[in-house]
Amino acid sequence: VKVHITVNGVPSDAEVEPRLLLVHHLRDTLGLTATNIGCDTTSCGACTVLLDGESVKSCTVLAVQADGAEVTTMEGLSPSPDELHPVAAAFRQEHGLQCGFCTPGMVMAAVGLLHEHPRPTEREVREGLEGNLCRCTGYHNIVRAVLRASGQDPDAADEAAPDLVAPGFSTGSGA
Amino acid sequence: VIPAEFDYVRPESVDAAVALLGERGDDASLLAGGHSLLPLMKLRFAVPELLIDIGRLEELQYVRLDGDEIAIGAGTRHATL
Repeated sequence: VKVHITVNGVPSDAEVEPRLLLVHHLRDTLGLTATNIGCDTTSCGACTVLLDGESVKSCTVLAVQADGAEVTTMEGLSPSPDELHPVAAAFRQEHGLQCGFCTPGMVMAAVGLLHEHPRPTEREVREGLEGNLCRCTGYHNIVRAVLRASGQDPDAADEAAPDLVAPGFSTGSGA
Repeated sequence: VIPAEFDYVRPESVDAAVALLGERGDDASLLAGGHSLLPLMKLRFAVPELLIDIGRLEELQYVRLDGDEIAIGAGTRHATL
């Protein structure tokens, strides 16, 4: 099947098997390896990319489903290494990564989240990123980074939500 | 490539999708977003011969007020709701 997908602003045409996953198309056909494959079962979010501006887990999208669409990966997010996208810059500033494996997915999910909620609360950030797992358990600084990227002061957000059970944890109970 | 081989079609209308389903019966599966079906296909719990992609059928995507009821199209995405 022929697919025409614009990746990071660059149109690409390819002949693919229907069963080819989008993440494999990005990594193996197009050589864009920033997008990681973590669990391959739609659980971890490491493969998150933007599909027509919305975050999707690319291990659970067929390349043919992205035909005619625009895909943005980590490679295409920032204009240049010296001019980082605000979310990428905030991850660096707040040290929102440890081993870095989840980072491309976290950043792309955060971009999608901030597109829908430009000024999220800390809880909204945690809930918005609940589909992305960090095996280093470095969530605290990731949340701080997303708050920072939204123009908020993460320290002020910490003080505003003192009822959290523990930093880095969301009980999901709403309590 | 992880799932088994299958054919893929993206019909232009609900009528065309229904006709395909009628022709292929149990050999075909409907694909909307795929977040339930694709993991099953990766595990080979589902092995359809044909995927009928209805993910772009705008006929199925709506949230509208019908009298005193709210009608939600079967293809309406969770994000839209």
